[in-house]
Parts: sequence; structure tokens; C-alpha cells
Amino acid sequence: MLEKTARLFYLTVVGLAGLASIVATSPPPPATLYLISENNFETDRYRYGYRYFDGFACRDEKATLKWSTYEEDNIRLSAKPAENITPQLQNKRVEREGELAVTILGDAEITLDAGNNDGYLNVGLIPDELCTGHSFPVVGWYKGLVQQTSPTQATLERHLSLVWRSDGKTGFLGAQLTTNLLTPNYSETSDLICNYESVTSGFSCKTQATTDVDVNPAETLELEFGVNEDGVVGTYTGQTALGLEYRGSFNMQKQSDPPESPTPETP
Amino acid sequence: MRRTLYISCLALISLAFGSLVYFIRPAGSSLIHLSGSGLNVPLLTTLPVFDNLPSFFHVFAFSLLSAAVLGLTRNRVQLSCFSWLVIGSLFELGQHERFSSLHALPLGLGGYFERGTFDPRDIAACSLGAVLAYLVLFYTSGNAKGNARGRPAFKRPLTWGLTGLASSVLLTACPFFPVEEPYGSLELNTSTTYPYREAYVCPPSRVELSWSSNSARNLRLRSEPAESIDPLLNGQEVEANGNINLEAKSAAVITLLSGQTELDSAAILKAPSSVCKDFGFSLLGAYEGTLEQTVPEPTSRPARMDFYWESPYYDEPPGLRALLYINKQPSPLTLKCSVKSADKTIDCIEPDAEADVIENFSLSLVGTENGLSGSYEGSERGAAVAIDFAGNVTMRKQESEPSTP
Repeated sequence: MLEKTARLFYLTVVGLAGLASIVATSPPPPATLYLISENNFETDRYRYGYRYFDGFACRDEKATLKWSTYEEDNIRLSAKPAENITPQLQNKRVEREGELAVTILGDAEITLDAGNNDGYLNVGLIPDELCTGHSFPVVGWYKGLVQQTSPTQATLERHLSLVWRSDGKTGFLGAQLTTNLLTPNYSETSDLICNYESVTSGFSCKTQATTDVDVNPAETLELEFGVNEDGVVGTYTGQTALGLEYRGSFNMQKQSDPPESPTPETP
Repeated sequence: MRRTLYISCLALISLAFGSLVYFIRPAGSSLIHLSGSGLNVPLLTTLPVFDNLPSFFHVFAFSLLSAAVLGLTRNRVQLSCFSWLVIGSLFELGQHERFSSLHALPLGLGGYFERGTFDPRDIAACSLGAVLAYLVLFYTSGNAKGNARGRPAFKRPLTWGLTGLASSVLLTACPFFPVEEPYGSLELNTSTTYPYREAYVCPPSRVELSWSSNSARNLRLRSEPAESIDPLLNGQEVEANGNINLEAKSAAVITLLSGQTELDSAAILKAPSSVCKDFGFSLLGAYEGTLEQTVPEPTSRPARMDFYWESPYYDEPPGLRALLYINKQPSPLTLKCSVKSADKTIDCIEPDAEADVIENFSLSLVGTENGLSGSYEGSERGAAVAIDFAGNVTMRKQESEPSTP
């Protein structure tokens, strides 16, 4: 009798293991986990592509973690080192889709533990000089006027975003000058990479050589600007796709971060 | 007992081999996230049965394990192997789109059926796994002598295996489980147009014909009327993919056939005489020249223009179009043109005025002895720029084939 029961038990174990291993070989849908901060807008996910694994924030910045997964049960959030994210996540049990207000105290790797389909996000700190020293962090987005002075006069309403990014090895400051930052698919945009020796001495941003077939190599743009009490002010020079050279100045005001109010933490 | 242990070990080794596939496969192709997955072993991953190996090893291993637990008598061995053959085959069948109602199943099963891809070869792999497991069990469990009647005891399992293999073959032909029909496509390229199934030419004119099909079996090309095309296309057999340069002497329809089945057809059509004759030369083709900008400041820019006649497209009537490449830009402006034969003039505009960085572009041309000349205007818009420009244009007709932009 005992042998029969044991045999039945082992058979059940083998059967379940067999079925589970069939199901486990199914291809996974992707889990997403990202950070919304002054630096990382939600629309960045579309502007910079879906494989957007890194999030950056100023030290002590209040940011929002957002995630979604197809897994249904036992989804948990954790951070390493745990003390760099507050409130501490500590394998916090969460819904399959949601968002959570957090304060970033240091670099951390955040994990969305969703069974076989985990999501990962590296959160890094933006250099302090881009966050402090002014009444606002330099990273973020700006709105204002571009005054073209040559070859003809023109006044253009534009958006500028200054974003701390990473190429996987090192961090750098990127800029986007665009007709409308909030509708990225339908705007004319220039992508630039910025250099600065110190925040007070100013910033220099240039378009980079690219292999992107959609980008005309003839098109160039260079911005030189400094930070004032409510935004950035500077000059620019460039060349159009047809080779027309142009120049002008711009004055843009810092905008508050969209979306404004993250959803409060759920128990 | 020792025999059971050996069989269990063999099963676990087989499972390890099956799991190895997920290490070698590109990362992210299964729910099992193994560190180091995505190992590059091209020799293995390009094997046609590589993706079916897990099905084989799974049924083989679990048949052995189940038999080890149930006991190594002939009936129990058969039960183990047959059960895993049925389970493996049902899980494979459930991935077919015919059974999409299974996507609502709980416990991750629905997701498994939804995300999986039905492959009859997996059923064949399950069958082979079950039969091989039975043979291993049969010879290691002392049943090799056969049953009481002296008949070989593996006759029945071999029957399931053959049934499984036959099923996988039949499933590919069964109308309930549609599989890929032969298909093919033809494209005509006049060097100034994008490849398409219709090409308007001013005969005689050179046209490149390209074709591709999922099957090279009895694939043939035919043109009607045959004499409109040089060389003659009267049913010659061709490879699955290829291209050929033709001279179109007149209008013709070219057909790609697989046996007697027409896979696709393409038409060479005659453009109107307003573009073929009225200017003294065929307007269609490639031109090269310069844009002499006068506003906002004098500048000279090289330009290339390709004229072609476009087929009707949705609400758009057929008509003359031009692709204008300015300053060796990789992407051209697409212009819609109208021809006035009486005074040999052409007016072109960019139809989608806000589609690109160059907006409201228009061009007015008049026929000359060896090409076209006229004026242009437009504006450039960008993230930090808004400039209106205007100037004069001179274009010479190119006799030789233009280089691909």
C-alpha cells in the first residue's frame, strides 16, 4: 500500500514537472520597468526607442517608478542597494501594472521580479553640478523662442530638452531641440550631444555623425548657451539639408516636469 | 532497482541536452532565462531540426522517468511512452490558431498556447522521442525476447511512432491545418522608379524584371504578347529568386507560374504620348543638372531628377511624377507634375506641403533641346531654422542608366 502511494506520488511529480517544463519553454512577452523623473520623461521611451533600460535622477529627487508585465501572480519590486531607494522596496508585492513614488538617494539596480519574466532598471545619479547651483536642475525641458537672424529673420516657438543619458559605458548630457517635445512623432527634431567644463562657464552642444539613414549628413546644428535665473539663453549656428547656413539666438524657460503628480504608493 | 536508477539518470541527461538548446538559442526566445543564454553556435542553430530537439528530448526523458516510477513491465512502459506522446502532441496542436479558444485557459496555459507556434515537425519529434524511449526501456527491462506468443513486443509502439510521423506529414496537407501555399511576386524596375508590379515606359525601353517565390518547383516566366519583350519569355523555367534585364518593345503582361498556377503578374504599359513624344524626346528617365539659388543668397547646388509615370493609386489619377535629389541628399522630394504639350511646359509641386523639412516646393520647367530648364521656390523648416528660397534650374536628359541614389 505504502509503495503504491509513493509510486503515485512520484508519478504525479514527474507528470507535473513534465507539463510545467512544456509551458516554461513558451516565449515570454517583455516586462517593462522605467523611471519618470525630471530627466526621464515618459515620452523619452518613444523618442529613444523601447529598449530604454536606464533611468537617471538628481540625488534626493522624487521620481516615479512605472512597470507592466504579463505575469499575474507574485510580482515583486526590489532594489540593490536597498537603502538607495526610499521607501525601501524590500520585495514589495505589486500589481501587474502600476507606478510608485520613490526618492532616489543613490545608484541602484531595481528588479521587477515576475517569476520567469523579470524586468531590470539601472537607476543612476546625475552629476550634482547639473542638479544644484541654480534654482532648478539644468536637466529637464525648456520652452521658449528661437530668433533666427541669418540668412533671414524668423521667430520660432520651440522646446529644448537636456537629458542625462548613457551609452552603456559612460554618462553624457544630450540635448534635443524640437518643434514639440510632447508629440515626438510629429515634430522636427535635432539630436545633440553637449560638453561643459563647468555649469557656470556654459554648455556647447553639437549634432554628431550618425549612421542613421533618416538623418541627412549635411544637416548640422551647434548650440552655445548658459543658464540664467529662469532658463537657458544662448546662440546657435547650423546648416540645412540643402546646405543653407543659418544662425540666431534663443531664450528658453525651464518647465515643470510632466507628468506632475505621480500616483501615491499603494499598500 | 539499479536498472531504474540507470534509466532515471539517462532521463536526466536527456533533459540536460534538451535544456542546452535554450542556452544555445538566442536570448529571450523562451520563458527560461538562463544566464549565458544566447551562446553563438551557428553550426547547431542552423540545423533544420534544431528547434524541434526540445520536443524530442522532452518526450524521451519524461517517458523514461514515468516508466521508472510506474515500473518496467511491458504494459506500463507502453503506457508511459504513449501518454507522453499524446501530451506532447496535444500541447503542440493547441498552439495552432484553430484552437485560439485555449488562450483563455488559466495557470499560464493560455499564454503558452497563445505565444507558441504550431509546427508539425514537433509532433514528429515527439513520436521519435516516444518510440526511442520505448526501445531503450524494452531492451533494458529484459523484454527483448518478446511476448508469450513470440511476437515482437515493440510492434505496437512502432505503430504509434509511425502514426505520429504520418500525422505530422498529413497535418501539413490537411485543409483544416492550412500550410503555406506556393506564392511568388514580380517587380518591374525602370531605374527611375521604385520597383512595382506596373511600369509605364516609352517603348523601346529597358526594364529590369525581378521575381521571388517560396518554391522553385516548376517555376516559369511568360509574357503576353511574347514578341513585346526581348528576350522572349515563353515559359522558361527559372530559379526561385532572380532578375533579368528586358527591352520592352511594346506593352506586355508578364506572368510568374508555378506549374499551371499563376502566382503573380506584372504589366509593362505605354505612357501617354504627351510624355513620350511631344517634347521631342521621352520625358521619362533621369536628368542631371544644377539648382542656381538666387534667394536668400546666390549658391549653386547639384541636382538629379527622375521622371516617371505613376499608375492610379487609390483616389489619385495616373500622372507624371518626379523624384528630385538636391545636393546629393539620400532621400528625394517627390513631386507631382502636370504637362502642357502645346507650349512644352511642366509644372511640379510637392503634394504634401508639410511632409518634410522642405515645404511648399514648386518647380516650373520648359523643354529645351537636350533637357529642361526653369525656376523653383520653397522653404526649409527645422528645429532651429525657417528659410524661404528660390532660384533657377537647368537639367540635361541622361542617356545612360543613372547610378542608384
